[in-house]
Amino acid sequence: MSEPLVPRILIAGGGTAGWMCAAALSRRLGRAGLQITLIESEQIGTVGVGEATIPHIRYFNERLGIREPEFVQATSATYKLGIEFVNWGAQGEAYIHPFGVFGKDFGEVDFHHLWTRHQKSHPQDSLFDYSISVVAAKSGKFAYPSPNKNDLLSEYSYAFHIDASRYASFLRQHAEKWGVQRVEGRIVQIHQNPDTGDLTGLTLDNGTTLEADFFIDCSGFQSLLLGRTLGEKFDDWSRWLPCDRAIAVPTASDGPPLPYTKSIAHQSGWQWRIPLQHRTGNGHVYSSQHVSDDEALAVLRNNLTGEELAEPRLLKFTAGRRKKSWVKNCVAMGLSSGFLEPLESTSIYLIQIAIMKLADFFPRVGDNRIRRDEFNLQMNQEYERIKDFLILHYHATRRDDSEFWNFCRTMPIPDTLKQRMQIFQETGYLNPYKNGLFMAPSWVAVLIGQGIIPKTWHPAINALDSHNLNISMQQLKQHMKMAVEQLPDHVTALRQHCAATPADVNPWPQAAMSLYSVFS
Amino acid sequence: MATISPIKHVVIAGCGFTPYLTGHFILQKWGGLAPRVTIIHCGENPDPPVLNCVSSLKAFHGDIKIPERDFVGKTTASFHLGTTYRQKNQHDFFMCEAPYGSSLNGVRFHHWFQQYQAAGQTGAFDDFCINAQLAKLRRFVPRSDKPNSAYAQVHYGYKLLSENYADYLRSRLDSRTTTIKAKIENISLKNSGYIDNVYLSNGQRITADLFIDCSQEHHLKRALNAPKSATLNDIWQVHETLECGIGAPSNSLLLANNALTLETELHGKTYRQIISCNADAAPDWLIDSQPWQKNCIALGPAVSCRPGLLIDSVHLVASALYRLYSLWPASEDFQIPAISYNSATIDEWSRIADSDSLHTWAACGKNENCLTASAKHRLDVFISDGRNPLYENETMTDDQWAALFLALGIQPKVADPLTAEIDAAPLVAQLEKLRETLRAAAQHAPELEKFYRENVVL
Repeated sequence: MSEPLVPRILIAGGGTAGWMCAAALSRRLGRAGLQITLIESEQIGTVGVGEATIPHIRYFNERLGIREPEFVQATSATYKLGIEFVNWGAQGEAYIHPFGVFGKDFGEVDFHHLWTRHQKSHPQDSLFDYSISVVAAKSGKFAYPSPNKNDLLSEYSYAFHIDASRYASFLRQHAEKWGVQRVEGRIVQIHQNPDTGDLTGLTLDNGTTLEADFFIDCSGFQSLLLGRTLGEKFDDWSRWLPCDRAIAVPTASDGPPLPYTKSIAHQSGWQWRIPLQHRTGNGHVYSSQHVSDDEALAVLRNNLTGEELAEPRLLKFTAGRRKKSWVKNCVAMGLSSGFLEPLESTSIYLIQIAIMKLADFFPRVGDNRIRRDEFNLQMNQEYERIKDFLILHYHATRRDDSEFWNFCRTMPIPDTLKQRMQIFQETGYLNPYKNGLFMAPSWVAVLIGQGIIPKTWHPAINALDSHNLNISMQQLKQHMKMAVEQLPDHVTALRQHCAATPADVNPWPQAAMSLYSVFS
Repeated sequence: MATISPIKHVVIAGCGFTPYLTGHFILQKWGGLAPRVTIIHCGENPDPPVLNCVSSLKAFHGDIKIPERDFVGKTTASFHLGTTYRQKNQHDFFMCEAPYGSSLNGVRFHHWFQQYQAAGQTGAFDDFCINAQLAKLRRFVPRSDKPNSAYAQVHYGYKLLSENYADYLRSRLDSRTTTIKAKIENISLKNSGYIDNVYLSNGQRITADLFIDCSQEHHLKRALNAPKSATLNDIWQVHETLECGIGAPSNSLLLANNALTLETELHGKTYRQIISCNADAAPDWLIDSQPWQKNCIALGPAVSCRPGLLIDSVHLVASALYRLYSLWPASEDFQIPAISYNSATIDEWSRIADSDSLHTWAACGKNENCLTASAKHRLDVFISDGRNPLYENETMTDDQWAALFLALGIQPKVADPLTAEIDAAPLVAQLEKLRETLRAAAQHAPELEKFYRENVVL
């Protein structure tokens, strides 16, 4: 081949990003002759981001040949059917953003148009009663989706709540087996080629210097290589995403784990609750401009439902990202490339997609400008589209009970989001896109869930007689309810899947990667 | 709150098949809610003599209740499997919509093909495509519903005379449509700037809620100060062919001497379209930058003077009609849906312009001046890594883009590194088996003439 792959890869930092990257590259590119070394220090803790995931992680594990039951056991995972947002649109309101579609479309017209019309005469009717994921989540049920496309139970997907530290350890075991060399140590010096500015090596606190051809920065918020050494500028998005602190604390489980994440809005931020098999992950994400750290901790503690298992940890961050993720011969992944709060569980996804795109545009010996620019362009688009979706959660609110919510409700938002919201509100239409994470059903969930109901519906819906429409809607709701009633409860499903011997269980259950385009 | 569409009457102006297709679509899609439709037959016929339609037409016709057998029989359409690209110093390449090979381990086929070639194999890329195998033998078989059949991958469109298509569509319009043959003499606007009345040469005045301009001369849109589309000077030659019969189930395209020469055989004639290319500039399609203005929408020839080489005008009209259907106004404010409509339409045409500019580039000795910026971007990324950049509103799939580059003689410098997962020997064996399976399947298919005689002729 005319341009061989760069042979020596050095990953700076372990944690979720480092080990995901090491595992994926060693498993998929090991045969191409890569030598992969990962440096991490036991003295440096990991943030352990992304305890809640989205369905794509299943694709990642599958590509690595990791059997799902093994993964669930190793990470103390529970299943996840969506995220419940409480008090976001208004205090006292709640909805679940599901991993699944709503209802049944009317020809080419999306179901939410039908519902919009129906809702005008039945104001108490909820769109969310027409989602299998939501009905199952609220009933505490879980089963693998049906592979039969005609079955109502095929219309959802699932992800996991995981212990991210255990996931990193689990991947480390695999990665080392696949040939990754782990080096213990702290990076104390970073060497650059004086002519090109390219990185050449890293010196550790024990005096060892490791050289490489290509560097992957997984050093977390420090962004040791991309930010500190190569000086890549940070694009600050705090004018739209004002939360800049989080306090995290694990608690003992207070009951059977829910098959969904909870996101509860408070006066100056929001709280996550992520149920694992052995504990619950909790955290309060807030804006330090609007509430002090002590007050934020008090809010979190007042809203915990189990006994605290560790001291609360404070994290400081700024929403945004490095303008480019790949500069010279260094690419950053995870927190070292940017931070978006875990409101929609996108942290692990952003690591995953960066790894996949890096594999697509893997650096070669020679000139990498075109592949580097394309990688940066595509990652930029990923971040931008997720950014708009997250801003929507803050902006689409009627809350006026605090300075924080008044700011969010009235702040100027990006034009792309403004236009999307406007057309939806006026017509119920959602500008489709193919390249990006959140597809139309996700946008519909958050828009309608937070009170943006379209003023009109697609005129084709007018072909339906009101009485018949009402009957069809009631029947659909009833069918969904009955379909969910057959499912086992979440704990039983977990027990069955984890206890099963390898021969009994499908290692890679079939389910769509859901509403997301990337892996379709 | 609007509960009923404000559009009670639609006026469609133009000539050729587009106005009739539009009228038929509106009536079929809206069924009992359909507005009244008036077609004003006016202006020059903008259609090329022959249409080479992509496979989407089959599903589109199904959606608007046009039975395939009836359509093919009454228009004397033939089946279209793809186009053979001919270039100097290069092997012929069969370009089509059907897949070439299949992805393996999440890696697209053309990367595996590179490894196959690197292993010294001489099989051509299009040997791995059922359409190509069929077309080379002048055979035809429709797509099979059985997923494991080699014929499950057949993608076919149609070639037909545009005049026949227009006549056929006109014959299917029902009494809800009025057709008037007249010139548009004058147009009056409301205070809002929306079109109010159209005054015809026969003295009639027509009022409507929505106006659809299908004319190359912008007979309706000119009232809104829209720029008139340019006309192209493509040369068309029609020859009697010595060979009788339907003709090959494919076309040929010669890319050379600063021109693109597309030949279509149909029922004893060869239709040759010669598109001259400017070696010093990217082609200018003069796309209407605002196809939906106020209550007037440009469709087909009113949007641009020429459809793409690979993507025909029927597909583009159908695609625009679906978009219009999705955004059909539910209130009297047309401005909000128009924003989304225009942005997606321009994007779609721009992607097609990328494809055409690459053809021009190949015909003009690979002069980069011929490339649009996004075509250059695509070319760079494909050469660098065999990938396709991400654009919205693409008509062509990633695999079709890859096939187009290979058809134009562009090879990526490197294959996907994940191809290292399979050794050369088992890969070659697997691909050779696939090639043989496709060749055998093609040989078992009927000749086009026989298939046509037995299945189509009414």
